[in-house]
Amino acid sequence: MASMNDVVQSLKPAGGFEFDLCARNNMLKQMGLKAPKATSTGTTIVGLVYKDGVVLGADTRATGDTTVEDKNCEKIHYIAPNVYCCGAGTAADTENTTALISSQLELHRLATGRHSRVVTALTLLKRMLFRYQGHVSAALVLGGVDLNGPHLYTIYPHGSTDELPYVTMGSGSLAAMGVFEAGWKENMSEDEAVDLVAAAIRAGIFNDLGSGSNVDVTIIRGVDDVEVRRGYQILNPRPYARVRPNDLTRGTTTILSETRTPIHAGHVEYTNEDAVDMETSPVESGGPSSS
Amino acid sequence: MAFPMQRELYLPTVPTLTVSSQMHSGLSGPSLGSHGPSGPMAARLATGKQAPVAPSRFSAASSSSAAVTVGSGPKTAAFSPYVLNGGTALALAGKDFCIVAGDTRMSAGYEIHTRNKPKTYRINDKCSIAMAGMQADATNLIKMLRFRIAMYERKMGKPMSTQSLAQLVSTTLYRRRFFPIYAFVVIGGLDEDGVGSVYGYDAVGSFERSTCCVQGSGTSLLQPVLDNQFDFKNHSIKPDELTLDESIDLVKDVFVSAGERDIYTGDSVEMHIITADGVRVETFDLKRD
Repeated sequence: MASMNDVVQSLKPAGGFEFDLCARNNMLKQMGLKAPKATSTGTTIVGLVYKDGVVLGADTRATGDTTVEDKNCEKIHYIAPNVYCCGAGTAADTENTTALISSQLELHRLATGRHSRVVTALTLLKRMLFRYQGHVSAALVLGGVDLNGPHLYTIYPHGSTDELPYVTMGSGSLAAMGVFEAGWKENMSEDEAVDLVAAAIRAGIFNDLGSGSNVDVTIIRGVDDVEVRRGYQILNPRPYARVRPNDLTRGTTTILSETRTPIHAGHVEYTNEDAVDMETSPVESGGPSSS
Repeated sequence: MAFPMQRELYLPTVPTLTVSSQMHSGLSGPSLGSHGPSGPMAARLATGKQAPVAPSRFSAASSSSAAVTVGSGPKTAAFSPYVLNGGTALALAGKDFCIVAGDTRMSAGYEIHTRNKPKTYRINDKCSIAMAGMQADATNLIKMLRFRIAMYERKMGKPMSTQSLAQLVSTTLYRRRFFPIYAFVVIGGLDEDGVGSVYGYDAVGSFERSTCCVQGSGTSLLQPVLDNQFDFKNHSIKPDELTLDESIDLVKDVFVSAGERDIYTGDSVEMHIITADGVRVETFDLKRD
């Protein structure tokens, strides 16, 4: 008979995605079940190469259908000390994809003793997205500075990539690109670059309903020379302080029934027949000691 | 024991009017000639395949909005006569006043068409109408209503009462029961006794008098708040009814809150404040993101 430990081992996730319920879900879908929708797509993210580095920008609104789910979310993700990545698409996909590749790069740095290159991050990201054939909905703007200078890429959910001096992504990408096309020039100063990035994000915030709230900016000048300006521009404070309800008298809410159960604050004891004591001192002789 | 009958409010869930074999078997169009159910159509219907259909009166409207499915399956050409322009409209009725308000953003999808299209329409000294939904239908509906109201005033020699207007709107909407006007109306005004009254509608003319009613994209956010904070539903201790000034504050509060969380509500609000002195119009700004 399988012991408790065997059962626990068999339930441990093996790494990677789980597809166990796909067959069941497809059957339910055929029977007319509507699958739940993930928090998604509305976003404006941009990137711009300037004289000595890269500037990334993002709005801070997260939407689920037509509701604003988060008014101040973070869309510029850390990849490496010299690489950052803006994410548009399904929030969970952009967060987990960037975190996964960030972790792989950290291990790579430890193994090689070298700084990460932006192309390495690009390759890992596009390989992962291509493997999942667009089902991982992450549209990314990847920027960084390495020994070869500044680099800026866009990565589409299916795994294709572009390398360009100025890029935009997300539902506000058209509004933002309009600003870039009008204002971009070669060899911009850092201040000019940050101003243009902020203007592009503002175009998304005010003209695209999927984008909103604040402007976040990250400036990458080199390894460990990065400035994360979270809340660079706070553009949309509440126009009025709410005045009502100004009083909610105690007892306002009707109590339909009442039962009181005292919380048991006593000692809780766990027993497990298979449990083995943790070794806290060297084993004296013959097998695990027990007290 | 049967469940109590529930009245269903009609929402036009047919944003695409599909030219299907069903329509053609029901309506005998020119392409069908005088074939009855026993004609060649009947055989095709029985196999589940659709007959090639003549272009409907919609299909020629715009090539970009005509979705044509290609492949081996049945072919359908569709055009959607409806679009949702978002936004929120509401009305509150007090003892001797009424407030009708709506935001002024008009949008479709993720785009803002304009930041300044009021949803509120003054009818006379005693009442105003507000409409959410599809603004093309709303504009046309108010045009039809103004015509009917003018005819009434000529004939009767007096302004139309709020109650009569309520019935007129219902009749006008129900006339289009089978190709609904995609506008969600709320009327606010004073009744014959000078008491505030609100009438809320669905798209095909079902209506009900109440004291507060929200229509449009912010309904699910605002209606429960107003039920609790204006009508004091679920309060075991009922506070005094809200005064006019308190009600105006509440309207501002709820629109600001809707603007925070509903992407279709924003830019500004136009508010009609109706008292025995007539209709006063006030506006205030919302966030523009």
